[in-house]
Amino acid sequence: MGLKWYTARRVAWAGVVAGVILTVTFVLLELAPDSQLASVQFQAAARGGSADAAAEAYARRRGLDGPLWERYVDYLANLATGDWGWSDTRSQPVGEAILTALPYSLMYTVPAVIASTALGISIGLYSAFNQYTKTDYAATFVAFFGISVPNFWFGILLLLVFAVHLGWVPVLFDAELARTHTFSLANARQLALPVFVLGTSAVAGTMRYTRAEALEYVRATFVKAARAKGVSERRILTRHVLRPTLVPLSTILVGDLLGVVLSASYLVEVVFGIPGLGRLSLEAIRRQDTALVLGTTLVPVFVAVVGNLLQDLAYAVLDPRIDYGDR
Amino acid sequence: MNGDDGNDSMRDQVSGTSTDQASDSTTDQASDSTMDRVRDNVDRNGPERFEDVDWDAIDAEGRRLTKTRLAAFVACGLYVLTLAYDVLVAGDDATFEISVGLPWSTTESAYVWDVTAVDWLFVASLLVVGFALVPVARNRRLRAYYWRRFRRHRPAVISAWYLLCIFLLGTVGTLFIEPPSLDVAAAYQPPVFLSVEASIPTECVGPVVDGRCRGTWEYPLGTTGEGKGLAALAVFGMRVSMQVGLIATLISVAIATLVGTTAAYAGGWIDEALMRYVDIQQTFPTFFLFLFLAYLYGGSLFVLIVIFGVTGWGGIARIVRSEAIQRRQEQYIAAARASGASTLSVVRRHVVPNVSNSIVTAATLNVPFLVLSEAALSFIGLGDVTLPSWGQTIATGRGDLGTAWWISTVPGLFLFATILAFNFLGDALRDALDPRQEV
Amino acid sequence: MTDEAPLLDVRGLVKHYPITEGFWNREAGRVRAVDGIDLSVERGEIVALVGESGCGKSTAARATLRIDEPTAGTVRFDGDDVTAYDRRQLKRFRRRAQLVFQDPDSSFDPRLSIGQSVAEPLTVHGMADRARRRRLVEGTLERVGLAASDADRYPHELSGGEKQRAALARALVTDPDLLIADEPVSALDMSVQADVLDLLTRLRDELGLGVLLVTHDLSIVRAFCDRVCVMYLGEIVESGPAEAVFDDPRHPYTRALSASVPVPDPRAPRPAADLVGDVPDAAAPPSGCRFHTRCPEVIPPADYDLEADGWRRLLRFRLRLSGQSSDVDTATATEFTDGIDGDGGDHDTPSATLRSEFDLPMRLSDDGANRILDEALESLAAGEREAASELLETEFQTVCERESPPSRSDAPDREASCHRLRDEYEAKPDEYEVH
Repeated sequence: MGLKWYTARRVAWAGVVAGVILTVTFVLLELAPDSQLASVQFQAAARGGSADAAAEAYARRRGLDGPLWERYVDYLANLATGDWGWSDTRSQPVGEAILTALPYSLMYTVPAVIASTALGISIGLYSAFNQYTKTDYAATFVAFFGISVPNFWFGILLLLVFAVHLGWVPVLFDAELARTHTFSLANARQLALPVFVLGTSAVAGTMRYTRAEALEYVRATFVKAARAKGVSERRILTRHVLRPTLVPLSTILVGDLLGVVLSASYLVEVVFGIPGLGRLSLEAIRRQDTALVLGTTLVPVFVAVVGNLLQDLAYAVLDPRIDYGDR
Repeated sequence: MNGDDGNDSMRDQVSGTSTDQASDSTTDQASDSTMDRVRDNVDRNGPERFEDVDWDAIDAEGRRLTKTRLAAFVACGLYVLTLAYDVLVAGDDATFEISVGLPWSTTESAYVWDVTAVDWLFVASLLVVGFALVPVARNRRLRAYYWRRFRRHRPAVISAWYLLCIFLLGTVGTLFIEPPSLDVAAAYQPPVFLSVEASIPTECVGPVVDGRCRGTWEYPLGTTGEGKGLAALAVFGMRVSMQVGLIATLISVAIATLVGTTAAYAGGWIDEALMRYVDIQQTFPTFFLFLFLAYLYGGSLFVLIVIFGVTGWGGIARIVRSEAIQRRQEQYIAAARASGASTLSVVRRHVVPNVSNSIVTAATLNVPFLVLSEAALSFIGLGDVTLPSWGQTIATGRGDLGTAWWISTVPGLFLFATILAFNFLGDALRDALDPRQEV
Repeated sequence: MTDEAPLLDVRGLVKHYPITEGFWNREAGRVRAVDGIDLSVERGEIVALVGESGCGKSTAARATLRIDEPTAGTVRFDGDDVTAYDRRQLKRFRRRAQLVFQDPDSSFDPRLSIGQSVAEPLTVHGMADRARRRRLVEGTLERVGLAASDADRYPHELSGGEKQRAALARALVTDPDLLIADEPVSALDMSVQADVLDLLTRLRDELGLGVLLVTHDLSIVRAFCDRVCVMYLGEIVESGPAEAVFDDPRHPYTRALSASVPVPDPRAPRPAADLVGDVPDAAAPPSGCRFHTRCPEVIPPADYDLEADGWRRLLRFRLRLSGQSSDVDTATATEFTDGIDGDGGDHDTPSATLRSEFDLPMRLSDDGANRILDEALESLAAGEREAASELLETEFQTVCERESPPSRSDAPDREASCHRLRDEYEAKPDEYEVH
């Protein structure tokens, strides 16, 4: 079978998944009650006109006429070529709106992911080595906290304490500052809380998984043997435990992180007022800008699809035990 | 069949020839004592012996109703009747309307319960869970064993009590407490024991001391900007969260069990197709799926619950399937089949109970995720705006963070505590029910 | 009793498993687990079905009970054709014919008490009265040598022997007429084995049970069984009364099997020849007599006058060369040619080197055969494996691979399938004795 064939199959499958998701979203959009259409019809009827005619005109204007098949193909073609529609509410192409918002999202997600991964793995490893000590319990507690606390509420609480009462960070997010002086200290200050909130959500999962995976190796005989031979603790840690742990860990991590980051960042942006993808999506929802809603929903979905694909491939490459013949 | 004649003659022989021969030939002590027992029991005239059972008569009898089955039928019947009544007869009027005088309210309140669609689902869920627990309730040893192991996790036990209180308050309590109502005059009241600058509330219900309005017991947790009591909001929010968590999880578990066992048993292309579908469904990040569907169809709690239930079963299905596959290869399954049980019977009697531990753990860990998701959706305004969800209350308090900070904090605390409790509970259950250390 | 139909009568039972490939589950081959067997069990007798692991006996047991559907053949139970049963009849059959499994540890649902497990067949077949079930279960447990209170214990609290008794109880509780025991004592300690088998025998006497005992352990067959059927690679090679078959085995396989049972008598003759190699792959069984690849008494070709030992080694070599042997396949060209290059200063002919390499006699007793062997070995040394193999195959064929041996019975209830039983191929008396 070989790696190349496996990769090809996985990529093809990712394509299938993407295709199915697109089709499903298309179908859902078709079937959803369109409130704007309903209001147009209502207005027409109120004025004494024909609701049907109004509906037809509406459909024509929005490009919703034509056979289902044609619309489906158009839909797919547009998405593939990058024409993601026009955002009525922002008067710009959806793609453009997304690209404008993207940097703001990255500004806090990237540092949060890096920090939480590094921190999570280190604490997880430490916990595995020092099981049942006070530090382990504290770490477990933090992990529970991280996955339980509603991050939007946590963000509000932190804002309350650090912005409103202590004034250490600004209450409102200054988008202009972020855009122009991205790597300045001022920007870092205003990003501190968002990064912290996102980080706590992410670190919990990472910590627990690392601990669970590492435990299997820490208890292993070969580690005892290494210790008996006199190998230093640090070397045991890095070579004998960390490396094999990273393999299954990397597979769980990507999926786990993706889920957390994508959804948590949404809420974080809403709470802190960062004009990233999440905020964009929310406004689109509020203003019933369907094209934009679709666009902003599909972005994280595709990120997830690609992420899962990379995760599977990474696993296949890293773990020599896996059989490429399997799914 | 001439088996009876044969048996008689065998029985006569038993105390005579063959047993004596057998006991002569064996020298093993253990088998001697066994021999004695066998001989004694055979000679005794006491309990019915299996060869005396008249199977033809039993075949002719047909199926009989057990007590549990009868109870289940009755419950189902009542449910359907009342549902029909609500839909057909009561229509838009409230289902139950009783005037009742409650000791803590001055007026005689009409006890009104308009059973909503969600409520119907909730009652159905409770019935299902109740009947599902019957086998565990009967098995005293198992129950005691699990409880002993569970008890070791103290945070989990506390969590269990907390959740029980929440559950009772949310389901039964809401019937007796008045729902939070708009009262502009009582806006921005601080919680009891705390005080806030007198300028903030329009009118201070409590005493104003040193230019600060004090909280009162009338609104123990304060009020929102619309004058709704936070205590009432918290309790009604419990109800929403409970309903979402439990009903949606139950729907998910039902679908997941069905899909998982089918995939495990059917195998082949059915298994493949189902698992591929689950792959696709799981790839779509759950939150965005909720978001998208809520945007398109959302608005009511009922739709939300259905969306949660129908899209969130993938992970549990995978667990059920892998456990079922493992169990399927166990010999006791083959033994059950060999004694004549149908596949359905085997699945019901052996596979599902052995898989149920994983299901319970997965379900318990699913609930906090749903509660959180519902809160998040309500927070951004996509939930059911007619219902006082915790998320919604937190959202209303955002604008007043600096002044009336309790509006966002209080419901958030409840939300946090509930989710934390479920997580502790789920973790402890996983340890207690750990299939790796079987009973 | 002899005029009645036997309790269990199996004729021509076949069970094949398809080997599938690819997405559409194309059949790429078949595992011929059971390839046409006949056996019968009367009431009140214990029939053993013996053979090595992998010969298909467990499969035969399951196919007989229709736990796995047979591919072909008929199974008659008390006169009725089991293979034609509909669902209702099949369920009734399950009540009257029970199976006891090999591994006591996993044949009980860990979540149910022993009592609940033993009572399950009663529930399945419609006994709704819980108290009655309880009474029956307790009574049955006592009859198999356990205590009535064991009904409330869980599987993990019982020992292997106790669990197997409970398994017997579960099989007996519906008052079956036929019991099929699949390696019932293989997983138990020796001391416990005898107890359980004693119990089985006693129950057979009390109840008039017919028992089909599937096992690979010959020592218990002699002690506990009335009749025996010896199975090899999906076929029955010999059957008859247990004592007779082991005192005077007719089939070479039976001879080898019974010889392999250790006898604590230093003066007893050593086994004539050991079985070499493993059971061949059931998906590609050897042609003709399936045992011919390992048979110590395989018949030499008529054209050559070969002595026994030399012929056997020649055949083995031939099989290895063509890849048909069940020995580890080491027939790579390099390995053969290595045999030549390896020896440095020795000026042996390639033929001689190869002969010693592959355990062939330096010289065969028949000149013609010897010449052909030389020719083949030279081809091989030159790297032409195919040619060498073909030559050997054409010249040194045995009737054992060409024809499937017919079943011969020289006594009313004894049967064996071996070409050696035919007059023209009968072995000379001392041909296969120890050297």
